[in-house]
Amino acid sequence: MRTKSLWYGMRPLLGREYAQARLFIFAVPIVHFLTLGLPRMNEWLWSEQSAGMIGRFQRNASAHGDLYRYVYDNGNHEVAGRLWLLLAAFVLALVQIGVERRNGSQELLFSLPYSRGRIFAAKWLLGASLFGGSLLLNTLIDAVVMAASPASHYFRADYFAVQFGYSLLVVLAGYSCALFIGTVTGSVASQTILTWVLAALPIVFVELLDASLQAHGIYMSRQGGYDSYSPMLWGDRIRIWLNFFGYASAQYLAITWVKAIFLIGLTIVSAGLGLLAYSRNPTENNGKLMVFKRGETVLRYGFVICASMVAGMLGTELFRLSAGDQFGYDIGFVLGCALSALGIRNLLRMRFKY
Amino acid sequence: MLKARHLSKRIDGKPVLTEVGFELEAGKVAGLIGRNGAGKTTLLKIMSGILDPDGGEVLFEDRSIHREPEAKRELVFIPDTPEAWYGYTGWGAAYMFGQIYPRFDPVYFKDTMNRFGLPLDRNIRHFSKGMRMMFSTALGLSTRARLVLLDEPTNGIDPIAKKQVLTLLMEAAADGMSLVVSSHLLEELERMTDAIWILRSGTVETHASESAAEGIVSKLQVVFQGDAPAAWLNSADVRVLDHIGRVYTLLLNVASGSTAAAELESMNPLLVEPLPVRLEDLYVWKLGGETYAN
Repeated sequence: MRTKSLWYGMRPLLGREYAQARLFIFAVPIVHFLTLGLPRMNEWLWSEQSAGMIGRFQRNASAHGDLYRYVYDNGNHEVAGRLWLLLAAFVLALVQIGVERRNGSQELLFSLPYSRGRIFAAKWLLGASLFGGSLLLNTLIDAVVMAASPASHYFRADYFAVQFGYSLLVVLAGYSCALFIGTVTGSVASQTILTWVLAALPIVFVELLDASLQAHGIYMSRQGGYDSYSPMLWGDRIRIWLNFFGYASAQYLAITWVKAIFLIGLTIVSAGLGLLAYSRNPTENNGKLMVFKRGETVLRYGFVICASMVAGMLGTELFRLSAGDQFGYDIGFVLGCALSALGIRNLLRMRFKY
Repeated sequence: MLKARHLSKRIDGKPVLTEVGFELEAGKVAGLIGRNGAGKTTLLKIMSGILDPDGGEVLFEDRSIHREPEAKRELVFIPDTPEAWYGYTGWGAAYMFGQIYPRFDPVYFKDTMNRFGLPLDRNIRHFSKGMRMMFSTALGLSTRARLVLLDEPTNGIDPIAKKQVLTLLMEAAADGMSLVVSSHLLEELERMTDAIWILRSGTVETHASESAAEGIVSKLQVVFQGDAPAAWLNSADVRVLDHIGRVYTLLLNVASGSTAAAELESMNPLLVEPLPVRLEDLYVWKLGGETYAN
C-alpha cells in the first residue's frame, strides 16, 4: 500500500524528469550500442578475421587471462561503453540540476507539494534506471552476439554478469557525483567546470603536492617512474586509489571486489550528500559559483592552495636561484596565493547567467 | 487559512524581509503591493516553499509548508514568467498538474484556454509573453486549489487580455478561492481584494481594502489665502499630489498625533474639499519617499 502511494507520489516527478531528458532516454542506449554491441558484431559476426582469432587463441592460450584477451578483447568495448555512459551521466546531471536552475524548472518543482528529497530521488532514479536499462539491454545484446558467434564455445556468462555489475557501479558513482556537484554549484558553467575539475582534482592535487614537497626535499612518490625497481611510496598508492578514471577504465581482469566496494561507497556518499544539499538548496543563490556559504569557503581555500602550488612550480622553473629550488617555489607560491585569493574573491561575488 | 509568523530573509547579506507576519482567511483576496525590488516576489516564493525563510514560518491550514510540503496540495504559485513550462503543450502541462493536484479540473482548463483563444496543442515556448501569462493563470486556477498565489499576473499582457485575466480572477474569488495577487494595478486591486498588504522596508502592513486609508491619510483639494505656506507643504505630514494655479491637491496625515489637519484649519483656507482616497494615494503616501531596494 505504502509502495503504491510512494509510486503514485513519484509518478508526476518521474514524468517531468522524463519530459526533460526525453532525448537521452533514446540516445543513451543507441550510442551505448555503438560502443559495445556493434564493435562486437563487427569483430565476431562480420569480420573475416574472426576465425583467425579463434585459431590464434587455440594456439597461444596458456594462461587463464588469455581467453579474455583473445575472445573478449580484455573488455575494452565495455570500457568504451562505460566512458560514454559517464559522459552521458555528466550531461544528464547538468540538464537535471544546472539547466533547471536557469530555466525556472527548479522553482516550479520546489513549489509543488513534494519534499525536495523526493524530487532529488526522482531525478536519481530516472538516471539510474536509464543507465541500468541501457547497460542491461546492451550487455544482453553483447551476450547474444557472443553466443551466436564462432567463439560461442568460449561464452562465459560470468564475464557478462561481472561487466554489467561493475559498469553499473562505475556509472552510478559518476552520476551520483555529478548530481552532487550540481546541487552545490549555482550555474551551468560552474557545474560543468567543477565536475571536470573535481574528477581530475585528486590526481592533479597529488601531483601538485608531490612537486611542492620535492621542491622542499621531501619525496612522497618513487623516483624513476614505474620502470624503476624502487618500492611504491604512499603518494603512488594515493594516485591509484583516487584515480576515478582508473576505476572507469579497468579491464576485465583488473576488476576487483575492492574497486567495487569503493564505487559502492562513493555512490552512497555522493548520493547522500546530493540529497542533503538539494534538500537545503538556497534558490536565492542560483547563478552564483556556489550556492552554499560553506561551499564557497571550501572552493576559496581549495582554489588558493592549488593555484599557489601551480605558481610555486612555475616559480621553481622561472627563478632558478643559487639558493635552490625552494626559494623559487616559495616566491611563486606567495605570489600565486595573493593573486588567486583576489581572483576567487571576485569570482565568488559574481552571478552567472548560464 | 494562511498565516505567516515572524518571517525574515536576507539575500546577499541584505535584509529583504524582517519579522513579517500576516493572516489570510479562507475565501479572501489579498493584494500585495510594494515598490520594485521591495521583496514581493521573495515573499511569494517563501509562501510557496521555493525559498526557505531565515526565520519564522508559513502555515497553511496550521501546517508548515516548509516542513510538510504535502500541505501544498491546496496551494499553487503562479510565477510572473512560466519558463518552466517550455517544452510542454497546454495538454501536457494539464496532464502533469492533474496528477499532482487532486481537484484539477481539465474541463475548466480547456474552457479557459478556449476563452483566451490559446491553442492547447502548441508548445508554450512558442506563445507570446502575454499568452504565456494567460496560460499560466488558467493552469493555476484549474487546480481548484484553495489558495492561489499570483506574481504579477497581468505582467506584459495587452489591455483586453488583462481584462480577461482579471475577470477570471474575480470569478475564481467569487467561487470561494483565496488569492494573493502581487500587482502594480492598484485600481484593479482595490476593486477585487479584501485586504491590501503593503510591503515596505522589509515589513508588511495589512489594511482592509474598503478602508485602506481610514485613519491614516485624507485627500484634500485646498485653495490658500494669499501665498501657499511652503514650510507646511514640505512638512512630513503633508504630500502635494498636484498643484494647478492656486489649487493644491494634498494628502494629509490624519493619524493620531499628527497636527497637520489642525494647522490647516488655523490657516483658514479659502477652500477645503475632501476627495475620496484611492489605493494609489495610500501607495504614494506610504511608499512615495522610498528609494528602490535594488
